[in-house]
Amino acid sequence: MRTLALGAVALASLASAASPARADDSAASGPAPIEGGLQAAVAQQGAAIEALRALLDSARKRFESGQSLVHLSGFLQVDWVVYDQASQDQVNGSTGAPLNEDRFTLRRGHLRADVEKGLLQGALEIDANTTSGPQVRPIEADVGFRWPLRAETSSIGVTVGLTRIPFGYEVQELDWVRPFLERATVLQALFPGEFDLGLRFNVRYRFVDWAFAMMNGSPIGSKVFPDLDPAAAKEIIGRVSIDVPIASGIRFQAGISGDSGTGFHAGTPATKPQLEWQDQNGSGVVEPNEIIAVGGSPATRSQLFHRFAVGGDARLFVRLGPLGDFSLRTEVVDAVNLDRGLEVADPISAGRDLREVGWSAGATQELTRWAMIGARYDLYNPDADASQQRGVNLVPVDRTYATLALVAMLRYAQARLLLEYDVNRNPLGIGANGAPTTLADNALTLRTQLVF
Amino acid sequence: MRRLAPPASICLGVACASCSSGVPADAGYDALMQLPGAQFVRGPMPTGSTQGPGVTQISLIANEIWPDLVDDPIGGALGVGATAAALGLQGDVGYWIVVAGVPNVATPDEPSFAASAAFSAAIVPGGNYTLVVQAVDQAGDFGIPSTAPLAAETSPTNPPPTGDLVVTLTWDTESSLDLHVVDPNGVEIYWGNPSSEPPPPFNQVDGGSYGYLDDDSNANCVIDGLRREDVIWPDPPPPGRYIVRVDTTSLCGQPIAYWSVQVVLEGQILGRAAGVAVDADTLGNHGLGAGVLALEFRVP
Repeated sequence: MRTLALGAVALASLASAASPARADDSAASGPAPIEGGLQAAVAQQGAAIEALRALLDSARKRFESGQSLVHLSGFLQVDWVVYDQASQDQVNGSTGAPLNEDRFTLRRGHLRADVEKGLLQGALEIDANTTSGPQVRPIEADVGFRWPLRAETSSIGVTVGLTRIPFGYEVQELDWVRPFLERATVLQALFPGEFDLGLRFNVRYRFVDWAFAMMNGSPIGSKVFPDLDPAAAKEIIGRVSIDVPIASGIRFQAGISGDSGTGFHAGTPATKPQLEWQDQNGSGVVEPNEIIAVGGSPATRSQLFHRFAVGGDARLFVRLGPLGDFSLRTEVVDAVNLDRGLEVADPISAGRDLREVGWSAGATQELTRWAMIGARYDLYNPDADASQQRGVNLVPVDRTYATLALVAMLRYAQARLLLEYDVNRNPLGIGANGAPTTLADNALTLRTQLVF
Repeated sequence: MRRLAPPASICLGVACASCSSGVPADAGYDALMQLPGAQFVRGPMPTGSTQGPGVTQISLIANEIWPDLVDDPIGGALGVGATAAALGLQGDVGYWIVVAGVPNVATPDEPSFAASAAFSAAIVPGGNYTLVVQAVDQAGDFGIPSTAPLAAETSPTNPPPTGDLVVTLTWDTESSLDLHVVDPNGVEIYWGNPSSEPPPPFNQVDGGSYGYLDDDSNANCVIDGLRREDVIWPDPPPPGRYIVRVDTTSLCGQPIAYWSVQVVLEGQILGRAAGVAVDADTLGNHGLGAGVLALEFRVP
């Protein structure tokens, strides 16, 4: 068993060293071209086997001497927003944050250390970015136990700490593997930051993966109480997924996910009655009719509410000869009171449950191993029952956010150059008739990425 | 592959050019009248027609406005069928869309509108302005505009000083900014030297005209609400070149401060400048010679 664990680590290390940008994305990889004929190919394979053998020997020696196996890795993503319709050379009057979006930004700079000693594993990943000014934060920090049952096909594991939320596919997808700049809006809204503190169980048996977690329910990207837990009740999250070859060169992946937890509505402290002066005529003089009595109010208690989500996802990979892989992906989520990242759901304030619905569908096509193009359409409605008072009528309104992402990518070794144009539709503008309309927010972004 | 990538980029570029949609994200900070929270539309208001609903009532606390007036309520009632109101000052750079609300008690069948207006520092005291309101229906048809006259006055709480030459610094947040003016004789007037008049008996030598600083607003972050400092020459100022600087001693916890400087010589505006103070401006010396250059001007 020890040998198996060692071998798994060595294989993972070799895979990482040889092709780090594709370690979790084998289905999206194109076939390696054979250069110089069969002899060259055989020589390449021989060299790879020798490298693997040397790595195994090195790892075995370190393992037998009781040393921990530490692996350092990371990646950098630097964005240049070439064009953004919403950009203004102004600042937000209330926050002071600049409104200019046409800028260079360090989107993600991750440094990760993995350590393995026997059956125990640990990981610490730090994220540095300048999305909202310079920021360094832990993105993943967990310790765990993993017991391989049958080589690469079966294992059980337990992880505790700041760990990835087991819901949906794009939440699991690594940032440097994802072919699009960001996750679909629905997942950014419901699972902001993708990581939360908790306890996670993983079981893999042949082609089926189970993951269950008990978590705080406040992911690191939450707008309220990030990485904290204002309610004692924990979030229960689970995911079951399969990964099966259908035919030669065709692979199918699918999963279903569920989340059930408890949200928190913050109470308010008591306030005293007070007098307020409203200078209604702007004279600067206090006049009797400008003194207003503002009554006090008792404290209100904090309240809890139930929230949940169910989701499904599927992907199909088809290898198209020397051109590369063609892939289709789709994901759908239906949730209640779970938005924590975009329009925070608070059914206590709203007086009703907030139903969230979202889905995404996309396709990518590799153009040899050096390039890829793709498109994804995603849609998210944070309040499917929203309405608006418009004159004498209370009318339903569409609060849907939608994005069409068109992407072209060049790849070389561990580097990527990615150009994405996002056609964004949102309900943040007001039309001439008072109805919500799209606030112009299309963007063209150029991203460079390097994995190490 | 190398032949495929450029066409992909070109396709994206075409998409970039063709997919522009939605109302612009324009905050309208340069408009004379601003309605926080409303949608700003740059350009003149539509002409309107009888197809659209009318405006039945415009309610104002008073018809007087002044530079930097904030939180001035504007409301009223719209014709039946209106779903929004468009409000703007005649001749302004744009107008604002406000969603119509529930009817008022006095007009139970007519949608209402309400907004809280702010008027920029560019409002000229003594000028006459016209508030234009149009009702808009569900189809986006603008009705016949209704108007209300607005008379611009000087601010009753912060009237401008009088003098032959007045250099004025104003800013918009409760932070501590300082006005520095260097006169043609090289004398710098600021909080550390609030007058160019030399001490006696030297002030008797030429009997010249001297400038003085009237206030050190928000000094040491003791907030006085003025957000204004003036350097004033009550008599004809000495001819020559003047230098005006703005120093940010502290933002007093505010994220930024927009400032503007205006020079008025014998009642005529000689020059204007504007800028923004950020945290980096608070670093360094705040005494003699401090501050960023706002403008230079010459008195004949």
